[in-house]
Amino acid sequence: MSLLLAAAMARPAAPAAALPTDYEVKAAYLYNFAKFVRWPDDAAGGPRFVVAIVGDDPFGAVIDRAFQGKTVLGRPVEIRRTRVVREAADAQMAFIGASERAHLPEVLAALKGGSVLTVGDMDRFADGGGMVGFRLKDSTVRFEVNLREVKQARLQMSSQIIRLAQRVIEDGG
Amino acid sequence: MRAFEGLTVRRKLTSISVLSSMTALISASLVFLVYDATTFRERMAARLGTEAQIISSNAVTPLLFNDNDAAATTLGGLQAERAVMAAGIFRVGEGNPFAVFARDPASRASLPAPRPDSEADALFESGHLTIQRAVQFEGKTIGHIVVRASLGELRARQRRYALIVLVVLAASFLLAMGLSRIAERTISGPILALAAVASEVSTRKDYSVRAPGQGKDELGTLVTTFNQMLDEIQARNRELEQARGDLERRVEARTRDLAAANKELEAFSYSVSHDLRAPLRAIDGFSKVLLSSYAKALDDRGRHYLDRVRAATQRMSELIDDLLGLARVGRKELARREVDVSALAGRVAAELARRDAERAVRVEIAPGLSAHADPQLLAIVLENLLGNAWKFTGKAAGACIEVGQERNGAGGPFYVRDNGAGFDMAYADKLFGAFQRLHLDSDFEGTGIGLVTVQRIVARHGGRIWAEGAVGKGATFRFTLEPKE
Repeated sequence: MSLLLAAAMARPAAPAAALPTDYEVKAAYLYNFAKFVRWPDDAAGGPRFVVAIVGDDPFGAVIDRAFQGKTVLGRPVEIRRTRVVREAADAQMAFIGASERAHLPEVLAALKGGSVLTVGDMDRFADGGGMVGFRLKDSTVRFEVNLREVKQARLQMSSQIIRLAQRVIEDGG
Repeated sequence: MRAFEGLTVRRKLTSISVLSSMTALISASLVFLVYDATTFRERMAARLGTEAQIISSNAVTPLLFNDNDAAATTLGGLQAERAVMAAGIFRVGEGNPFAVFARDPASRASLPAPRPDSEADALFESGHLTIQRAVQFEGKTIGHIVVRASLGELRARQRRYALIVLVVLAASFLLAMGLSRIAERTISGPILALAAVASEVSTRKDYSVRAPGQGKDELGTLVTTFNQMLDEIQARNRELEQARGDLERRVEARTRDLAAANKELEAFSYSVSHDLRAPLRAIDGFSKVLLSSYAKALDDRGRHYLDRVRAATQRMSELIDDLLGLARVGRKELARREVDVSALAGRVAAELARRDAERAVRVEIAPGLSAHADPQLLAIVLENLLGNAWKFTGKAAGACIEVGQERNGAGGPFYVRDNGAGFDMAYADKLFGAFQRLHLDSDFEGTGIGLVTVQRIVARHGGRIWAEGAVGKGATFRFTLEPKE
């Protein structure tokens, strides 16, 4: 992300890229989240680190660029776009777009029981049983964390991330 | 150094001990001051480096997630570190800080931009320490932490330290002074005592004093040797004293012996002279009877011989008289009083003129001469001197005798001068010897006792007599009657 931002700022010749868009930022955050979360051994066994985008894809090529040439957990990254939530069940991370807001409980229920880090691009995502929900604060991208859900999925999230969360829903409630 | 040489031993010892302790203390203090400053800087750099390291690891996610507030909170931990004036988190390649901590606005302005090449360093400059650490993520530098701390604490610490050093110096100075007082008792004490004794010895010549103290060190040896030297001197002095005493006793004994012998001799010559008189009177008397009663029975030759006998007895009688006179002069008590020397000389001259009326001798006597002397003895002196002068001018034409006093009566020697036969100065020392005569009896008759008598009288008065003269040009006798002051 920082590299991305730096690269973006180092290109004054392209005024359109002078300031990163929200989705460029969010794409970078997804990568950063991956770096500060630990998956249980049995959930990280595949040959690729899979990031599933469930529902409409708001990123386009941006996210491909964000992960281009990078590895997570020592594996190359696969961006898997899908409308069928079941196809995201073996992913390590699932981005749930705003288009899924209407049937969010079903989507989340489908991912429950595994170790998929769910990141939602909608309000009150964390309150609704998601793990990390993006939100805008003063036109800056921030996030909330539902630590209870994170732990149920046997994921470990670094305190460095939790510290930056706008709101943390703790174990008890 | 010259000023130091002028000091007393006591001051020197004190100066040395105080100087050496002060020097040791000051150099130790300086070394420790430098060591302390170095250690302090090292510790400060290490401590702040650790803090910066922690901040840099906590700054990763705020940088990644673009969270200035979280970054500022992370920096806020430096609030507790009082030396830190300002700190900043910089994105890599950016001069403006991503987040800043500053104790006050002025410190904020002083926060320098990170040095791009450096991952970790500590820089001391003009009272400040600047620490820099890189913020790394995935093995890449994504930003820098810069911490600027004031060295004011070090300054304050050094001021405190300097104050303590001054206090310790002052205390040590007093302590060193006190200790040197004690040292004085063992070192300068004996030296001062020795010096006092030495000066007492040299001023009062008292060799019986001894220097105190008998240490086992060089000073003790010095004192002991000095005392031994005094012992030696005292022993020598005693020996000398003894030798002098012996000598004095011997001289006294000799003097006594001599005086006794002299007295014995005088008594002997007196009694001999006295006893010679009786047979002489018999010879004189009987030769006189022979001449008067038996003149006719003798021829001219016999009478002539008898006359010669009578003349010889006359002469012998005079000799005896003179010898007795000399002896008397030695025995008589001195009875000094003021004597009119001019009048006395006048009477003597008149008597001489009466006895020898055929001669015309001019006698000039200075008026107003006086002396404090025995009048009878002084009369004998003048009789002899004037008599001699009268006698030895017998063959001179226009005989003249002068009596006077040198320096015009102001206590100078008296003199009797004539223009008679005089004498050879080569024999001047024989003039005053008994029976020594410089002239033939046929020229000038005499006994040779007169000047001996004169000299003895003058000597008894404590004076001195001496003569000058030349053959055919007269003689001058000078004498004093008082001991020379």
